[in-house]
Amino acid sequence: MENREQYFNRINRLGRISFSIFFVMLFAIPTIVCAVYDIFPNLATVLKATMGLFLILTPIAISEIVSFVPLLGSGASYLTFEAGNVSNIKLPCAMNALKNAGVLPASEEGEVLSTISVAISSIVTTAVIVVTVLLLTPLAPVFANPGVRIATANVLPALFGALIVAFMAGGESGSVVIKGQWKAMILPLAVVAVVHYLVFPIKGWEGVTILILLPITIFGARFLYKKGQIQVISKEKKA
Amino acid sequence: MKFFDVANGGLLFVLVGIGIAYVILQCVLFLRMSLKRARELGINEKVISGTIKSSAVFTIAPSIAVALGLAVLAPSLGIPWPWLRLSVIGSVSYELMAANMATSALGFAKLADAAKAGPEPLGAIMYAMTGGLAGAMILDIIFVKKVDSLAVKMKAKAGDFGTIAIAVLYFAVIAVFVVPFFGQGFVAVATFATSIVLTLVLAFIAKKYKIAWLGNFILAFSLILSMCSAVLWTGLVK
Repeated sequence: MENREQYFNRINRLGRISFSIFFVMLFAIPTIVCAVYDIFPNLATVLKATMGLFLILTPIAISEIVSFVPLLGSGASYLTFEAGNVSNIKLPCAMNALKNAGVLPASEEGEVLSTISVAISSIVTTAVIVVTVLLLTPLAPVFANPGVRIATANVLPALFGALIVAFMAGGESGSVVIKGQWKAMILPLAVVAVVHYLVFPIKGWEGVTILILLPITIFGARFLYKKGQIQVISKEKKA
Repeated sequence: MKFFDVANGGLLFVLVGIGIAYVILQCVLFLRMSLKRARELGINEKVISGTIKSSAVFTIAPSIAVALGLAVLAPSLGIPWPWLRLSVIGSVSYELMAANMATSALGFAKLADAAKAGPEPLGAIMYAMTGGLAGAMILDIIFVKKVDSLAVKMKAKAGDFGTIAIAVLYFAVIAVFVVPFFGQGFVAVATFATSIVLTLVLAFIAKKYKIAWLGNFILAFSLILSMCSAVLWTGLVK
């Protein structure tokens, strides 16, 4: 059996190589289409159109790497960033899987289970979209249905309502139980509430806000840990 | 040649199909590798199958929202390009914005106006939407390994607090998404509250009646039912 480091290196090698090929493929698609139909755009036009998106999406990516990779582990991160729909599908899906299994992120078991979860999730999303593509015309009335539009427009409140309960209540993580971890949620919620409602709306700045909030959340948890408000208890001791 | 002759052309369908098939192949490879590793680590088969089932069921409802994104983008950009972006790399929350930004940088007021100008804008839009993510993809390739390795080392070094630090990281993500719901009106708040209540009720039922399988599906069931409740809350507001 491989040791942890060997497995870690192997999954990262696979991730880096396959992601690099994917990167080339993504640029190959518009290049082939433009070459075949002779519709290559002017370089200055493309740069102008690209720059705005680049400046918005790159900081979001930095935030996602810093905040999501420690939670997902390497294997699941490559798949998540490639498959997209990160914060609305892949990350909650993997976090839910770890919670159900009673496993912590940044552990060997956590890394493996989050990779399984994200791989399955990506396959299911792709299948749902394939069905949609095949049935786009017959499904048009369904998509136009006001009920379906309202339900799908509210996917995030529905998702995060369930997640907040799962994460505030649960403290079982592998061989230990984290007692009082819900208290660490108060500071980030308060900071975001003050900034969002009194300083400026964070819409469009979610990535940057998460990046700033990470150290605040960790320092808040450290303070509570030092004060004995959050404790790590081994399951054996508890039993 | 018109915009949609290219945007809905066979060539783009084939290329996009290849791209999506590649990502699925990758998922299968990672899945095989991690399943093998899970068994080597002695993870219980029930835990593995629970992870697979709960992930599959959970994903269906939010994927319908993504599919709706495809239905919104297809009339402006054709089917294959939004299909690619929403199946891989993109996000339903950013794609419409990305397409609109690329179109306005080309000098068109709306996506639909670009389509009226012949096939040329399509190439620029596809390049811009791909190029906009180039920095993100390069950073992913370079830094995923480094950040993961650093997180594992820091967790081990910090002892008990390392365990807590990793456990609370996701709180920052939850706070950023949850707080704005309270400014989005009654329906968003009521849906959020419904989801909390449903999760608590389902967790209680699973525990009280010892229904082990239900534990894996609490999130999925709460998600679907509270999305449906949004329709009810909207009806009440009207």
